[in-house]
Amino acid sequence: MKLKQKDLSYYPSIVVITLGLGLLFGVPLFITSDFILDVFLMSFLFAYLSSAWNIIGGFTGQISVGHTFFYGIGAYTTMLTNLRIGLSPWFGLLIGGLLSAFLALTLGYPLFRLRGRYYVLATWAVAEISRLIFLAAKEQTGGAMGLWPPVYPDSWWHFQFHASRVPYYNIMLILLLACLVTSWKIRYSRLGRNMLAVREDEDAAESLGINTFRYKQIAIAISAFLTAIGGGFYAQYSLFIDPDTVMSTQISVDILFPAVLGGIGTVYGPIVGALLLVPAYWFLRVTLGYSNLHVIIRGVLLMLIVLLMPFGIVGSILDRFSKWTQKEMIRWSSFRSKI
Amino acid sequence: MDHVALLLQLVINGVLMGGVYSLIAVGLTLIYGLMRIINFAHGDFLMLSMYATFWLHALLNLDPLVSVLLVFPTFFGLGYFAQTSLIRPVLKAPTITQALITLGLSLVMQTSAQTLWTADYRRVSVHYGAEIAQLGILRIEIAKLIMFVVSLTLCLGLYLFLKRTFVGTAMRAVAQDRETAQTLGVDADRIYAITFGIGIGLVAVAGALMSILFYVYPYVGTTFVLIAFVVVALGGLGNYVGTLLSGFIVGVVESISGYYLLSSLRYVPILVTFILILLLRPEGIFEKRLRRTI
Repeated sequence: MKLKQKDLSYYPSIVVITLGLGLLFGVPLFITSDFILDVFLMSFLFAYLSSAWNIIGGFTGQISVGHTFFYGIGAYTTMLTNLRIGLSPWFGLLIGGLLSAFLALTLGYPLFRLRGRYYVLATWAVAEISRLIFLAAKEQTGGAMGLWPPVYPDSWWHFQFHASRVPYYNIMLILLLACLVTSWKIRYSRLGRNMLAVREDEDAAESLGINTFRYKQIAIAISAFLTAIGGGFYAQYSLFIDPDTVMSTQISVDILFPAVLGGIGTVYGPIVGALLLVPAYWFLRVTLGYSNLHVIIRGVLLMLIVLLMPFGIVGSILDRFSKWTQKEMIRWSSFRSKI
Repeated sequence: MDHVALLLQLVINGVLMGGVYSLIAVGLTLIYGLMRIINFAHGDFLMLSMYATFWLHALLNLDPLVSVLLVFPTFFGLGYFAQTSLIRPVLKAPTITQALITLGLSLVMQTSAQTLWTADYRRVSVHYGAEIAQLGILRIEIAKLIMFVVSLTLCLGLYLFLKRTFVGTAMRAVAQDRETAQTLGVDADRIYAITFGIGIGLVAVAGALMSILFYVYPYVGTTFVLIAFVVVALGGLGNYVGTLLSGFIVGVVESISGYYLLSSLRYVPILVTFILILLLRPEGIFEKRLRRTI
């Protein structure tokens, strides 16, 4: 009973946040610079991806450093169905999402037999080997040359807009809101509580009758589905993909780092993290020029942040303000002692 | 008869490569066995050492086999420094923090290499690089033979080091029980740094040797270290003897499948092997009989 009451009290916050983010639909009315719009859009994309990652990595506590695999599957499915059978990218997004969820479930059988560090290693290995396979299979994927779709005039059916980035912007924002609501719905439902139980103590959860394998599978399927749609969107936005841009460890790190920074396992953490990080990346890129230097600095920054703030910002700031987050922090601290 | 000879040839090639895989994997497993850190940057130290060997050859005309003597102490120092500056602070942190540190290091090393030396493929050319010894119907590449002999010598040397020397014994003690080892006067922090240094030193030797046969480019490490990770998974993370033996198995699997499959499918058997190991024996195939953490 008590739990139920508490859950209801979360409603205002999600409504406020959703409306707040909804206001961002108005941004293109004031900002006409393609560049700034691009920064907004990429921030939303990585907020979206990081939230999706958070479902398996944060709620269920299974740290994946290979999410680029799902991202790449989504991007390649969208691109290839468009190129080879002329399907509208909208169907490609859906097929990519379903395929990715299916692959996630299949891989879940071997991978979820592993715990902790072994799982981390396995996700990385699967993603990297897949990258090598995608690079080597030149006839099917174009290899390092990459793939690009035929150019169509602006159309919603073909998911291509050349005149303005506003349609892309709106689509991405809708995706982000949908992901946020999904993540929030999961977190404060029976499903989410069971996922958290898996994260806290797998053996204890198992002894209470929670089928931990089942909840991990549900979490990875949802996460993979959402991540693949993000990948498909990116393919249509950039209109060019190759294994290095959609299937590299760099992408995996970019996906999970906003969540780590913003607070793993919190609904808003990944979004806060991405809205801080992505603009910072772009700032670095602009100030340092378009050489590789900004990528190096990014890597160094990543290591520094991780060394200085190993437990995220949102978690540690919110901690001081409310009882609810204190409880969250207790949970989190018991979690961090275990992983 | 021809088929038998071919198969034998492939097995020999695989075993020779397997020696190097073992050398790379032994460093990984040593590091994991002691401090429970998965070193995602392992392959990038391999890449760095290949570049070092390449430049030593290009600028000073130093033979890669001589470079080995220089590369080991240098990379031991690098590893020692990396452990004390980056790994030591996160030894007790969550897995994700540890993973992000070594992944971050890996990305920084790769992009730095690309910025400094471009993505061009480079190669050390030495006279014995293409020499082949005819042994009846079998052909053995001299370079691979050298690689194999040096790798095996080092692996066995490490084994003796762990068993016979004071530092080696201290390493095994820390691996078994850190607290007890510390109460007995072992400086665990120093042992960790030394272990990391040795692991990186070994992978650097592997890199120096491999530069005779393989092209050097900024992302070369990933390919080889993936194979090394499969070796480690097969042998059991932290299991020294198991890792050594698995190197040969993976080498042979790779050599045979590489011959019979299209080049676009080259990496599929590695992935399949990896997943099969996880599915059937997630603790590694040697766990029961050879259970000895280093």
